[in-house]
Amino acid sequence: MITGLGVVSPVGVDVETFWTALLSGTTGVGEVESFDAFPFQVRIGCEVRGLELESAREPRPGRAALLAVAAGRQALVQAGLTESSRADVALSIGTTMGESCWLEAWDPADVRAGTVPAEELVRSGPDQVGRDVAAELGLGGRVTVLAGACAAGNYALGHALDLVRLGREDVVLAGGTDAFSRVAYTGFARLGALAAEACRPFSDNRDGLVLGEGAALLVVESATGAAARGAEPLAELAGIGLSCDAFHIVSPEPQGRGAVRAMAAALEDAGVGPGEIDYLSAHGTGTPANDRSEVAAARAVFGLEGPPMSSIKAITGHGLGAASALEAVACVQALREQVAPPTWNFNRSDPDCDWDVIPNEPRELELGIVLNNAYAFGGANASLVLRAAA
Amino acid sequence: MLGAGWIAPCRDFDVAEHLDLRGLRPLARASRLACVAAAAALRHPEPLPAAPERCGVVLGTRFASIEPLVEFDRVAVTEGPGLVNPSSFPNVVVNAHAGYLGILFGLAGPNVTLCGEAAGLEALGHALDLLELGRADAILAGGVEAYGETLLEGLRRTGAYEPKEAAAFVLLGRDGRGPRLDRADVDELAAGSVAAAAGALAYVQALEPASGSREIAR
Repeated sequence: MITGLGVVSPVGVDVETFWTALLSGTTGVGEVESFDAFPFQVRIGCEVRGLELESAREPRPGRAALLAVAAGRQALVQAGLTESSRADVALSIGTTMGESCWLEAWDPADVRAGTVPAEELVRSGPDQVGRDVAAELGLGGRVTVLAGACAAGNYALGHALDLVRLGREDVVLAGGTDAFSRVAYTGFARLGALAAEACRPFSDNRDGLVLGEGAALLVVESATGAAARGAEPLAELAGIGLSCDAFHIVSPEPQGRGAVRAMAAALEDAGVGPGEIDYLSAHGTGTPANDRSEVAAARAVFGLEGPPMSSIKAITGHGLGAASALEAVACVQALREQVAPPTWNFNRSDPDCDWDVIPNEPRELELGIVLNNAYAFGGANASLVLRAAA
Repeated sequence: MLGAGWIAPCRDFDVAEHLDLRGLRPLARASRLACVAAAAALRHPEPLPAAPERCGVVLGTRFASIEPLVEFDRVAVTEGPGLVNPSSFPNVVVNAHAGYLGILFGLAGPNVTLCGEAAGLEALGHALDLLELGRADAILAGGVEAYGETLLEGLRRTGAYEPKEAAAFVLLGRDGRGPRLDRADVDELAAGSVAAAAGALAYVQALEPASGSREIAR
């Protein structure tokens, strides 16, 4: 069961504001402020603004950890886990870049010369995000950091589900986080993957992704555990499916065969058939290749008349490790409110990815079971099944 | 356990001498070390123990992508973002190493990367959980640590941390063949370990000191 939600996003630093933006089409796109974007051809991004990232700890945690702390605190509070009841709470957190801000701040010549202190060098690994978040929030359980790139949020949520199922943990705070990264921006720019003006998932005029940042954390626990604590179940985390394209390090397999296997595994894990899925939360980055292969995969699983599908990345940008966790929160909200968020910025259907993508207008739907898809570098695929709370 | 393999550090190591790389030239040092250890664990080029879709990878590391990231950023800052090599970008993302193992050996099941101080051992435990839950029939699990010159020199000079490079993998199956890998042993070792790959390395060496393993040191 999911008993708590927390969000820090470019379009809202709480669940309510975030959800309202998804339905009203308020995008988080703006000129990049995190670093000097002058040398780049494209200079837009989705950054989290208007949030004071505080920490009393020294050395100060990095931005990725602090974004996650702000989101995690919301989720823990909603789940009724006060500071005195977190000693056994575990953390399962996904990230793409970790605290790349530290590395971006150093001069490699200083590192080589040994003038950067060893403690700082050792803190540069992505695992530091997990240690800092757990320490800030007072979580005493096991900490797992999953580097699942752009599917990291789903990986972390799936791992939380496994830990609870196997009885290894009672309560897990799980999700993803990434801070706006110059290195990631540079990489996507060089791959020609950045959109010139806006992210337009599945649209005929889509030309890439808009890089984002943020964090989303969810409290995951067993139904009996939640009932015993008196925590309200918001939705059920019902299944996870993982696969690898084993095809190309950055390009999706054109037919989406790996994505098909991840979806099929998630459905099997949840014990549901394709016909029971009411809505697909797409990875939908807005790059020509991703959206095309994603629709090919959906066709293979659901046939020509599958459930409606949408991508919220037109609004949030691509939050990398946070992305699928933000989308999982959107799925929970959709199940609770019986409304699917639309795909904004949609112009015209692309014959290569022709699907009902809920263009430009929220849609009231009877939502019982939904599927949240995420695809990553390395050909890593992770699909998550979520079910409305009984 | 169906197989094991490791590679101890060596400075002028060339993966091409050990493995047919074909189109995988841009591999980072960590990926290269991982590939060689993995090839031994898989007894490559012998057939996989199960259908490719049922064979997964769980890789633990802590610093494997630091050097590629620092180098990528250095070129972008000093020469301009338009002059970095796009094919080196995946290496800055930590799951690239496991991704390359999937591509190179055709492992199309779950592909997981864990980061932590004892991530190599965490990876073994994680793989056992995936097998128990039926998410795969065989999993290549282990750890890799590679620093590259900049971080290696920096850590050596500061003197507070002794960096060790290594990669170690075991091939775990569901059918109980080979030595038994006990979950409690893995957890206990992970709790006491401080280096991602070194922990897994020690464990692999203890489990299977000779057969099916391969040590390369020059």
